[in-house]
Amino acid sequence: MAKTLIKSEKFNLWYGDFQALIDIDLDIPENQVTAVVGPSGCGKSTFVRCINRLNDQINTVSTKGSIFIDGTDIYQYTADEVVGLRRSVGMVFQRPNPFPLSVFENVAFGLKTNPMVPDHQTIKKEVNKALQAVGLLEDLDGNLARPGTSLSLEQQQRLCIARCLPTRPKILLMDEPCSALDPSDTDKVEELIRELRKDYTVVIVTHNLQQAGRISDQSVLFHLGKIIEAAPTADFFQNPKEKRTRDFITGRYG
Amino acid sequence: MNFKKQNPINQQKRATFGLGLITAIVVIPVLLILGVVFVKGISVIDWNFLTTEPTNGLREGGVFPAIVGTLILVVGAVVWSVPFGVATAIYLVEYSPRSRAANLVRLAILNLAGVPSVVYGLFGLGVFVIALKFGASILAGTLTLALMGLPVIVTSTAEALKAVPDRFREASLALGASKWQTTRHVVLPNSIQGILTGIILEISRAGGETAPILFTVAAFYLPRLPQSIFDQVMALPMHLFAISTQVPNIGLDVRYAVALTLLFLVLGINAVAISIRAKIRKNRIW
Ligand SMILES: Nc1ncnc2c1ncn2[C@@H]1O[C@H](COP(=O)(O)OP(=O)(O)OP(=O)(O)O)[C@@H](O)[C@H]1O
Ligand SMILES: [Mg+2]
Repeated sequence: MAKTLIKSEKFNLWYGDFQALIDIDLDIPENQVTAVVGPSGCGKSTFVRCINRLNDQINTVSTKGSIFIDGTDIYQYTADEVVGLRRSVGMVFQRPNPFPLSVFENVAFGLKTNPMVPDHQTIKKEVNKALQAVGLLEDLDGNLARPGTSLSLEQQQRLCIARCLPTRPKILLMDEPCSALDPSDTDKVEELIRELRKDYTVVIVTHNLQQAGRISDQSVLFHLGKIIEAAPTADFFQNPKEKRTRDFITGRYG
Repeated sequence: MNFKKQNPINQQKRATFGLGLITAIVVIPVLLILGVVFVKGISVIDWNFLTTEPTNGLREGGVFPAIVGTLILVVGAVVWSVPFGVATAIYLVEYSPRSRAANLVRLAILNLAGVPSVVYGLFGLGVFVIALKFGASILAGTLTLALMGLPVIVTSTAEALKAVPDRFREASLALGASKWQTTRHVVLPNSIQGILTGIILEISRAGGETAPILFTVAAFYLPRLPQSIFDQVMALPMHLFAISTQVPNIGLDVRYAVALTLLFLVLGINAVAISIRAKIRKNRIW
């Protein structure tokens, strides 16, 4: 059994009066891919946005319960610590959202906004390493002055993944990272996610059950703000314990 | 079942014609104003008119000090109002969009925008000229104009900030940037167009108004250039007002020439701002 890196304990979240997450208990193992699936509006995005406390941004949000990373409760963090948390938890969004800056500046952004800004040589090295890791360095022939928004959608999404890497996160959160891409581009990004598992703990939201089956080690089904089942992906698909899971993977709802 | 006959193609034709006609009715007076001012004033304008000082109690000579004065007033108004206006807009949009304080500020700004310009003039006289003892001076005049320009700077900046998609803010925050870093490095650079739009509007207004500068800075007849921000200056709108109402026997063509100079000046400064904005627009996509 792999070590648990993220542990959610009786975690609840409200948007105003509406409760979007109800008593979430979940262990997410280190250096594995955990896929979060479920019907639209069940709270998948809400949940992953709790792991880097991005939901703090929304002023109607209130929470109860804990999410531990490496044993410390991130919901006890001060505002400063939350900023630090976000440096150690990268996030990739549904729609590729590179800044309207050059490829280089996009990837350097995390380092340049660090409290300790590295010297230019280090930044250059880290940027190159990150772009290498997502395969963009070859694709762009080292032309990092191009505007990030001029790349193809799939390249933009890989750029957004690369952008997370220089601050050396342990965790990568991905909210439907392939939903804006066509099938062949999706293959490339999936391939990348499988590779990233060696160095990162990945939590990925997906609408696509085949994708969850292909790339994840653990799968989690959400329904109306609750977790229905969390299991190793093979068991989840071949041997689900819950009737709801069975219905969901056979396409009877969702 | 009953049917009512209609002819969509004909309706479309009539709509196109009607809308076009109304647009023409709106545009023609504007072109007429420009045309009349140009035709009647251009004959007086020459190098001498633009570069010499008025003489003989405004009856002769050029408008050089008034051109310089208007330039100073416009630039001064922008320099004062942009930092304050932009800061206020950032506070309103990024920092406390729903707080009580923000609502109060928003209300105040809305009201500020509706205040007649002569009231700004009196306010400037009372506060800057008399209470703060700046005297009638560039300082007092530009501050008064800046105050008048604030609502448009705040409003246009706020709109520009709101137009920056949230996904850029989220991406930045998720990378561990602070709120201020996100504002400074992501939101603000992408709002420059809107800020420039505000500045362009302010330039036109500050360059053309007479009432706010009447008591605070404008000199009736001061045939020399200012030495410090505590000096008075001449200004084109004030000069036009003066030669039209205070000095008898000045040819109509001279008045048109002054109006035309003012028009060229304001359009010229605006052209610079607009070309900067167009350049920024070209280099940015999302
Ligand atoms: N900012 C918000 N304010 C209020 N309610 C919200 C907000 N964001 C999400 N919700 C609600 O919370 C619930 C969960 O939303 P969430 O976006 O987490 O669902 P999801 O599982 O990611 O759905 P999808 O598959 O469509 O992305 C939904 O009912 C949604 O309407
Ligand atoms: Mg979602």
